[in-house]
Amino acid sequence: MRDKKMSTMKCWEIFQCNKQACPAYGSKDLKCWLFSGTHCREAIQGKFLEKMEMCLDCEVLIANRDSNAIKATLNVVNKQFKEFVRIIGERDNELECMSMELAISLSEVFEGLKKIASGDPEVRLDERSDIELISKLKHFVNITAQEIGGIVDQSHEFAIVLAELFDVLHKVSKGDLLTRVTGESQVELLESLKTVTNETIESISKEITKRERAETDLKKAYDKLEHRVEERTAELKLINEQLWHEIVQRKKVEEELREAELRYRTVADFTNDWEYWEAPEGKLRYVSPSCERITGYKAEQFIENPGLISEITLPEDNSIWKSHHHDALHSLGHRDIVFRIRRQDGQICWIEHVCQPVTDNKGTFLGVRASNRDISMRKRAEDALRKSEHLLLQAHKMEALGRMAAGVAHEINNPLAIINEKAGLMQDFLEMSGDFEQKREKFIGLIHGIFESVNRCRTITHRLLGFSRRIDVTFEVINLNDTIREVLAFIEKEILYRNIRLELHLREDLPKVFSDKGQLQQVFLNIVNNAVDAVEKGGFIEVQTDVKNEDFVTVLIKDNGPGIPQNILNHIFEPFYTTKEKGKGTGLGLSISYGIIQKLGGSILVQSEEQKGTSFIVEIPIKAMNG
Amino acid sequence: MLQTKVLLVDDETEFASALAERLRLRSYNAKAVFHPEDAIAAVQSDPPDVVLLDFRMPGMDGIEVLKIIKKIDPAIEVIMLTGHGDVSSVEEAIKNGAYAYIMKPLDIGELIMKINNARKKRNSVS
Repeated sequence: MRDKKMSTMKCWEIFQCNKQACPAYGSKDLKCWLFSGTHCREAIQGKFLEKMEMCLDCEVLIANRDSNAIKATLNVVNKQFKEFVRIIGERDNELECMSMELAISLSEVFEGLKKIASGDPEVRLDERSDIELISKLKHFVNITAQEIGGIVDQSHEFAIVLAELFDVLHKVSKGDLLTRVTGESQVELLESLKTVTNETIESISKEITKRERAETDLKKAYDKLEHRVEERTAELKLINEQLWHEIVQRKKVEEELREAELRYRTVADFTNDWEYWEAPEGKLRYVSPSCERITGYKAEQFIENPGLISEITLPEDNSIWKSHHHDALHSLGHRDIVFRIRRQDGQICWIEHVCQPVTDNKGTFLGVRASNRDISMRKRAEDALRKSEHLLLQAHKMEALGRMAAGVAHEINNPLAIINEKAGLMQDFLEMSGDFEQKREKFIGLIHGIFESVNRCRTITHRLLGFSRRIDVTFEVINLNDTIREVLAFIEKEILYRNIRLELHLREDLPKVFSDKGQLQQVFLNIVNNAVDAVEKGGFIEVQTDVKNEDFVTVLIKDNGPGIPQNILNHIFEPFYTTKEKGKGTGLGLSISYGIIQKLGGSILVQSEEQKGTSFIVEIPIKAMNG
Repeated sequence: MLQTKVLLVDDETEFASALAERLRLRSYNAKAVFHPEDAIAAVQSDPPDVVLLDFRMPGMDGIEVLKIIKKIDPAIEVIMLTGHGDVSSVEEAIKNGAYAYIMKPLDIGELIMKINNARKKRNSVS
């Protein structure tokens, strides 16, 4: 704060500015506040009115507040005010004119813009004006109107062309590819648009044509392909079906195989017989479990030691086994054999051995498959059967003998009666006194007669013994006619006493047969006895021998008895079938006779007619049959 | 007394002849025939007192002959000659009028006794 009295102090003294450039610097008339453009404050620069405001507060003014100064100031201010008023008045006039022109121009512009806005671009304003801005504005409006007019025209043209394009494109979209955009346009863009559109349509059309062709080709190809696919599919289907069938078959076969395996395994393992499969080199590939039951040895033992079978065979039967075994493994012809083994427990067992060669489906020899059956029981049964057959045969014979016994007894009785009387007569003669010499002749005669009777008896007893003695089957060459005569001799007396006429037609040149005499006699006796029983008293029996062919001879025994009814004829050879009443005949005769002749290789046939008679024909082979 | 006339009927010639001779030695008027027909003829022509008839003969059954003899002359006594085993037939023979039977080989003493008894019977009847 300056306390010093500031009377007419100069501003440059107050401020100590030293700004000689300042207009106020160094002025005589100190009225810096009246000077414009002083440098006292930067802020004042250029601003007179504001300066004044600031100067009012300035110390310099305060220091120089005298009336001269104030007067000078007021004068200045008054001048200024007048200037201002004048300026303002001028300004007002100007402004008025300007605003008048502005108003008119603006309304022109307004009208023009309104017109433009309403769609009429024909607006040309008079661009003359004092006001540059107005004329510029009007110019711009005109230009705008022009421009807009041009744009409108252009947009018309665009619209037309676009409409056309739209039309064409629409047509194209509907499929008309022949349509083209026509006309010319001023607008380059539109022209090129038209061209491009046409070109596009062209190329689309070409493209579509190409595509259509391609489509057609494709369709054709597709059809062909489909056809082929169908064919292939059908083929594949067929193949598939076949495969499927095959699979099903295979599955079935597999199943069957499994089943078969199971079956065969079951059958094999559970078989009662001891079965094995011997490979060509002698190893055993399979031995059934039954071998333990039959032999006492386990299957494994046989497999480990294939020679075991040979070892357990009885020494006496070893040759049978060995030769058979050899033949079998070499696939030579062989028979089934029967031999004995010694079981593990020491018992002897009869084995029936049956085997076949095994081949695969190519014919390769795979070895031998054998089945061994324990036939010990069967053997025993066979032995028993043979024995009982033997006994039965014997019984049959005995039965015949029994029948004959009565006849024989009678037969022997007669010679005995003769002997009795002749001896008695001799006794009588001896007891009577008299000439012995005379009686000598008679005695010799009587004794002779006795010897004859004894011979008769001998013949009879020998015959009987001869028949009964034959127990074993012996084959020999036989004269059938003689055999028949012998048989008839057995019953000749009975035939005689029953008044049966016997006719013999025995072929002289009958070939000799090789057979068992005893059994043949048995059969003939049986049949002739039956004939005798059939005719009873006064009948007729014929016996005939003949040749059938080079292998057989026939013996016919025919009677004229009551015959055998057809329904019985079928049964006569059955055992125990008899038409005789109980106690008379066992019914075994014909069945045994039939069996005997069959075993000798021949046969017995029967023909019969009721009321007419019966014929039995025995066919006997000339040569012995085997087995 | 007249000798007893005995007719032997048996097809065994040696036997019948020998027996007939033995009977003759014992003072029987014995004759032997060997066929049933001859027996019937002999019975008719020269009727015996006693007939010794064999059961089993060819041509005709002993029973048949018995029946015929009995028919011819029921007074004639017939003794059947039989071998062992004909006993059932003997029953039938007795039914048909046979007097007795004797088994061959026979005991001459037994035969004589039967012949005499038969003769006695015949005498008593006639």
